[in-house]
Amino acid sequence: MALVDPIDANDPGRPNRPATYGETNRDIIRVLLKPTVGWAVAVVLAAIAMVYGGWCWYQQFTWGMGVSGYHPPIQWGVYIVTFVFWIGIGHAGTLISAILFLVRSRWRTGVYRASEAMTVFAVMTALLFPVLHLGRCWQAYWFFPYPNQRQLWMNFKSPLMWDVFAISTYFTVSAVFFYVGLIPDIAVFRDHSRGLVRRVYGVLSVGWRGTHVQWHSYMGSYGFFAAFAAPLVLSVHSVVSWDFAMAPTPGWHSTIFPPYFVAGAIFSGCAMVISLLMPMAYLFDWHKYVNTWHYENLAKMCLLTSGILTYAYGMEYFVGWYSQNPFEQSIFFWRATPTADYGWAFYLMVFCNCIAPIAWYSKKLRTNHVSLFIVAAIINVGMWMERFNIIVSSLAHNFDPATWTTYAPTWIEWGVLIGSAGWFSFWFLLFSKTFPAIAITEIKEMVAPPVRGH
Amino acid sequence: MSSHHDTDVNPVIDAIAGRSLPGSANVASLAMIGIGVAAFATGLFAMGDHGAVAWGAFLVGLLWTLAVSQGGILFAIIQTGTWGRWGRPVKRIAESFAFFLPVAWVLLLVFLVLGLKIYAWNPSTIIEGGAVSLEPHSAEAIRSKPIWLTPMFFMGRQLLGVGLLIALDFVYLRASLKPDLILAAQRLGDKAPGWWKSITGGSTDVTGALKSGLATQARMVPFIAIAYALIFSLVAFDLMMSLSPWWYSNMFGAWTFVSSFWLSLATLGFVAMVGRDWLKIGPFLKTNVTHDIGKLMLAGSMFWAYTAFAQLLPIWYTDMPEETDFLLVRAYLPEWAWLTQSVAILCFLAPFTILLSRGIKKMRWPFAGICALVMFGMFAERTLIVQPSIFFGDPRTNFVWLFTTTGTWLGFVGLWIQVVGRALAQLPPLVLTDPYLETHPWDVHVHSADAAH
Repeated sequence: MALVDPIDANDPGRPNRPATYGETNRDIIRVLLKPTVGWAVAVVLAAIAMVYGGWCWYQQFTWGMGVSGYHPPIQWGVYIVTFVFWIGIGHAGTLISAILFLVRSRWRTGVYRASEAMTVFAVMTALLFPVLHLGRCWQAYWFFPYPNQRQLWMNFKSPLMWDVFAISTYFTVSAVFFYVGLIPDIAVFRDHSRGLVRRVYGVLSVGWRGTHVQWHSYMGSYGFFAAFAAPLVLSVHSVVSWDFAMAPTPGWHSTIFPPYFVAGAIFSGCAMVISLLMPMAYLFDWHKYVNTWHYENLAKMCLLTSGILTYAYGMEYFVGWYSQNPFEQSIFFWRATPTADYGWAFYLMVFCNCIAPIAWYSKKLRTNHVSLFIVAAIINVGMWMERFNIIVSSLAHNFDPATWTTYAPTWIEWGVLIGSAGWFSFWFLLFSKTFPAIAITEIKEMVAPPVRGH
Repeated sequence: MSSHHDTDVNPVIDAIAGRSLPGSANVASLAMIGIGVAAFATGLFAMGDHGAVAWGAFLVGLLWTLAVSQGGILFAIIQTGTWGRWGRPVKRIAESFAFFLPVAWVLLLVFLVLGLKIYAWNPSTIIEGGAVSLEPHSAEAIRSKPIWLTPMFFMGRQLLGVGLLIALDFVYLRASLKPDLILAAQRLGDKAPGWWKSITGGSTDVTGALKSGLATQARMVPFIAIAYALIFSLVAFDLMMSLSPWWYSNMFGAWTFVSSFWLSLATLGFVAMVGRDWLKIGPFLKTNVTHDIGKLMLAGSMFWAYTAFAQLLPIWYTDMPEETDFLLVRAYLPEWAWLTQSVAILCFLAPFTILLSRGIKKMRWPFAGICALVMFGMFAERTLIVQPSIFFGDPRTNFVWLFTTTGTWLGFVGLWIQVVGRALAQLPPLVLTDPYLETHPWDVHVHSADAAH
């Protein structure tokens, strides 16, 4: 007795697949051909932003940190805010590629490769900021566990040092995982190209022939990396959160920070995947592979993590009030005072991260491309504002009222921020033109196999 | 009956007629209730602390059973919300846990009326040293605790909050049960339990009930999820955290609701393994389902450790006196350090290490053993949170303390088995009409592709 059709037209697990292996190859390899005008314009814009950011950094390099808005006690500003922002963006890729792989989620197939690329480029972008923040960037090697001539080592008890290890581990594993996943697809590109390009892809595909033994090793290693990378999704942003939570600073010392930061990172990362993939799908005509089904699932991830963030904001306020600790009460009260220095930042954060995503509770809105793109952009603004709100307001309103002050970023800092977006976009656009940004191998798993008699 | 199902569900329906709690489970659970009553009475009259330890043990038993029962519905809504198929064979078992929730609410009422005196902030407290002042230590601070921690407000919000959550659960449960009960009643005829009519209303329209039931279940997912997070946080802050009135951690609520779900998952694994033959669901409960529950439990052990570590590390590192006291008493005092170490082993090291094995997750009795270990570990964890705030002696040398705490918890477990076991005996143990009980066509395709190769 068939009570309902188990897979009806609206089933979220409905496959969206090409007809044949050849069609898959053709569609995805097509991006290697002559660049479109849209892609070329995007690359030029990214390059302009990158050069402008580089020029701003050069100004700081020449004139010193005085060109930024930093002044005691606000010694962490836009650079650290943006560092945490990009690390957060880098979370969704590994979440989508590793964790959703482990839980056998079907919708990841179309979007995970681009998300992984986003992770690698976002972490590359984030890594610029501690160097920028140093001021004397030529001493960046001090980050590494390397003693000076008096055998003095860096302070391993410092959460900042933990961060170096956490992020470098995450970057290494994400990059290797990303590359391992790419190998069979690069081999497809190799087989469809000629001359020098073929040789380059040949080297990068490390002799892949698609033999049974190679597939066996590949699948084993992929599963291993997925299991290895999954805990890193939690650990990296937890360690980043400890940069703040380990300090007794009011508004920073919070036990809920680790899961709250992780949820926020996934939230912003998934929104960024929508922001990146939707234009790319239009640009390269990928709608068969990346479409509303994927965006809707990403929107649902955002809804879940928005709920977690809203819960965390609420708990911070509730426990701050409950604690009867005057410093905790003071900072939270001050942040939420609309007329206070950073009241606007707080309310912008709440609007972007807690209120705007509510629109996606409506199926109509979370399946509408315009709404998806706008809300995803709002979320990205909101997550940057969240880090600004945490970092700057706590430093501006610390224990001693005599030190209370305000901070406003200078045009140099804004320029570097714009440059970082350009740097990230530049790499992502180059990648999408030269490598398979959609996983050919996994898309083919959804294609009916060419069995004789069918 | 169903051409769609991988296996015939008729034997599962037929087995409902006349089924009752197995004799061994009945005797064992009644014995546990007897031990529980004796242990609680011993604590009340023999500890010489006006019943503080006994009511603390009562609270642990209440929190444990409440977590297990509510977690079952949470498991079900996760399956609904994610269109998950792997867990559908055990979805009904998980849902059956909710039948204990009204009993838990009554037990909560009993605790709030009679046991509230174990809170040091309560003016009529029985805790050694008498009631503590809740007035702020600084003239600059806003007075919050004297407002928040008042007996009537405390009782009112707990009863209302937990009551609201239970009401939402039962809307979901009814929507899930109705089409299955109609279908099963059609086959069983007069042998169907009479109380089913209170849910089916005598309807015979399976398809209509299924259509509206699936829609209602999907609609309830966000409401129950949000209510669970908020109300279990409230339970954690009020019932556990306020036992140490000056300690606070804003992670405590999240830690509690995450660990509560993990406890419920372990109980689900245990009941599914132990009750498989009794419920005649063996053909549906294949090793891949057990394997998946095992994997989720492995993830749960890691997540429990993560949340515990992430909460405690900033407290230990920053070393602020109002925070570290909670940690110092439990982790450094020899009277309690053994329990902290036991909890770390029972809730993380043992399940994590053992569940790394793929084989053990597929073996019925060893897997049930691991589930039981976690269930006991979570009892130890709740005891570690509650008891050091109300008992100031040395538990290592106090047999009465050990008997009171362990025996009372056993009593709660026995009561839970009686209530849930009797409910489960009279329910279809599978979500019979749920289309997601089927194997996904993609998986069928993958299998056929494998076969072709």
